[in-house]
Amino acid sequence: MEPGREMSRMRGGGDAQADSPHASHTSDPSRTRPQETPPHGRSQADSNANAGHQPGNVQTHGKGTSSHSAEQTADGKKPGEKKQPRVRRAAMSHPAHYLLKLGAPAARIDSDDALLDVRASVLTPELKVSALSPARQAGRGVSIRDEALIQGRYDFAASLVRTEDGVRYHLFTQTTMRNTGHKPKETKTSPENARAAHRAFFAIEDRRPDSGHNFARVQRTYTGDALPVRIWFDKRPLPGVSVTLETESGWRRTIITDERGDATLPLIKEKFHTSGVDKKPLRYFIMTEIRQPTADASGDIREEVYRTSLVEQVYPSPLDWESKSAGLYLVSLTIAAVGVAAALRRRRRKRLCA
Amino acid sequence: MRVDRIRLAVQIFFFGFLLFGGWLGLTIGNGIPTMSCIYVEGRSGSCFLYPFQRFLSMPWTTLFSSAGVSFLIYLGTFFLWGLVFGKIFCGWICPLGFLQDLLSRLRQWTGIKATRFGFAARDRLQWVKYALLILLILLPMGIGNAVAGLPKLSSDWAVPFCQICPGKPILPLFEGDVSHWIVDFSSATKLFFTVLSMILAGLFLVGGFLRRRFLCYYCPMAALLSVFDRIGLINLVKKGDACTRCGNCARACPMEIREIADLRDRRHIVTQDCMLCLRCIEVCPENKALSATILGRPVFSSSAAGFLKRHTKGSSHDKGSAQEEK
Repeated sequence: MEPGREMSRMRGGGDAQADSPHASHTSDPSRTRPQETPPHGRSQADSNANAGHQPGNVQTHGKGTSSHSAEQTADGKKPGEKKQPRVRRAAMSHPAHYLLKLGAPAARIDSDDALLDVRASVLTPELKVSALSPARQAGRGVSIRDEALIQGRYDFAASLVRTEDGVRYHLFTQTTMRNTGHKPKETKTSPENARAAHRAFFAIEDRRPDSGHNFARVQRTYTGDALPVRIWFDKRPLPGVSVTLETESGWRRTIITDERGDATLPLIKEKFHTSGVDKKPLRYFIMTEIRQPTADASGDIREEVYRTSLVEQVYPSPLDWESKSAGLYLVSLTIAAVGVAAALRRRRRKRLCA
Repeated sequence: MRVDRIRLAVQIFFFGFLLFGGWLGLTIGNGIPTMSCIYVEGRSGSCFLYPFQRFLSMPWTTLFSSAGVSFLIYLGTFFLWGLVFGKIFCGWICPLGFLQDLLSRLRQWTGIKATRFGFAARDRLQWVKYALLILLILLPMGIGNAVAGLPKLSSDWAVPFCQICPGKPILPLFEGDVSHWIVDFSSATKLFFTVLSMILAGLFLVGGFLRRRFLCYYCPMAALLSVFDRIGLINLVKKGDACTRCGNCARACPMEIREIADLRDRRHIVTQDCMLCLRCIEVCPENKALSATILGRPVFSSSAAGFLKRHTKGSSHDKGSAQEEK
């Protein structure tokens, strides 16, 4: 997880295609995942720390933050406030930082303020759930952030409910990251159960195999890989729903989930390096949606829309600029050349001796 | 028990530990120099040279301020390592050294004679590692800083030594990783480094087969460790009076160090290429002419009785070595 990078975002409702070209980022190990409204395990203490935070304020595992107010001094401290002790961070670990972006027109998330209502939470490697507070970032929008000091996997989730024109939108997104850090305390809960409990009401689960315990290793997804996903709705796999993969350039592919709610999405090659090699990653968007007519007694809401998305950061395959065969030819040629030269030298020496 | 067999057992242990220790949860971490190749997934630590180059590539303002303490701790742990083990690393621990010893054994098994450098060539080649060490220090410095007013180097120049070290393609092979056997065409710098890396990997394989410890003449790690030759806790001492200059030691030495036979007036004889394999003590027929010492106390000395015992027992390795020595 790289500090300062846009890692993911809340996918606002509406037409996903319309907002995809300027959508958010996920870093190498990231996988966005949705979260139920309201997030599971959200504690009262966590809920106290909510919207309206100063840019850069950090919600550290639900311990609360200083809120933005006119009383703050230039360095962001209230008068008389004690200086926070410096957090001791393990080598090579980074804070998690996810930028929430505006949604598409249909859900009319037309200002950053709406994103301050996003309910976000994180499942830490110690399998504790903490609420995260969206905070405004100067000139960059609204983000959620966690110090991520413990080594292991972090599952982030965020959700938002918006009602407009008689349609209630339930918007979910979710992401994971791997981080180095301090050793986590042992817990009796199994990680699978904790993740299932933390999973969003409507979620896209990234089903790629676990990358093991080397958390310092950079995990990347490359073009040409396949992305297996499972769609969950109300804690159950959802068969027969269409999942759409969309690239930055607008290429789309829709796949229907099988009876287990699974779908495998091809991460096609998107970059062709027309002017020099470009190793920058691309964003691929996976999204799915369910529309249900509602039985609202008042008649104000006629339809419920559940929408969830996953943003995948995909790197161009190194095979675009690397050649294994050239490497093997080169090694073989070197061995052959030196071997022949050594043999000829010995033969000449033998002749001279003779 | 013969020293070369003990050494082989130690080498096998460290090869397994440094390359696969991480899979078994045996890890020393990345904070201390464990000489374990950074490109091996299941390694149990990290090679000293990789973070060393990373530190040097930082802007000086960072290196001498926020990263200064970490850098000093890193150098300090390496200094302690060098002080305690010194060249023992090269002869007994280094995974690439072990692979070269295996290639030499394979050659002996096939009956092919070893190649030797001429004295003049060897004397010239032994300075290559110092030149590489200087480049290893200067090139990373040019990434984060404008050295001597020159423009900064691109990040493609990062960790230049690790990019060309034969360990990068060869050691991950033992975990089935062939991802470093490549030529990278993404930039001229990458192309240069990957082509050089492939050539050096080929040279390592063929050179290690034809010649004992072929790579060690050019290894900057050996150059760094040679700083501790005089002050290391483990030492090799010679009793000039007992030496008859029979030359057994120089002929048996995998690094072909002739000074060990020639010098009779020097007590400390760990030279810049010595890897403390103790083979010279094994083949020395004179009582206490050569001794390995720890903190000045002899722990293994040459003796006529020991020499005869080892010589009469014999082995295929002895025959191979004897062939080479001729």
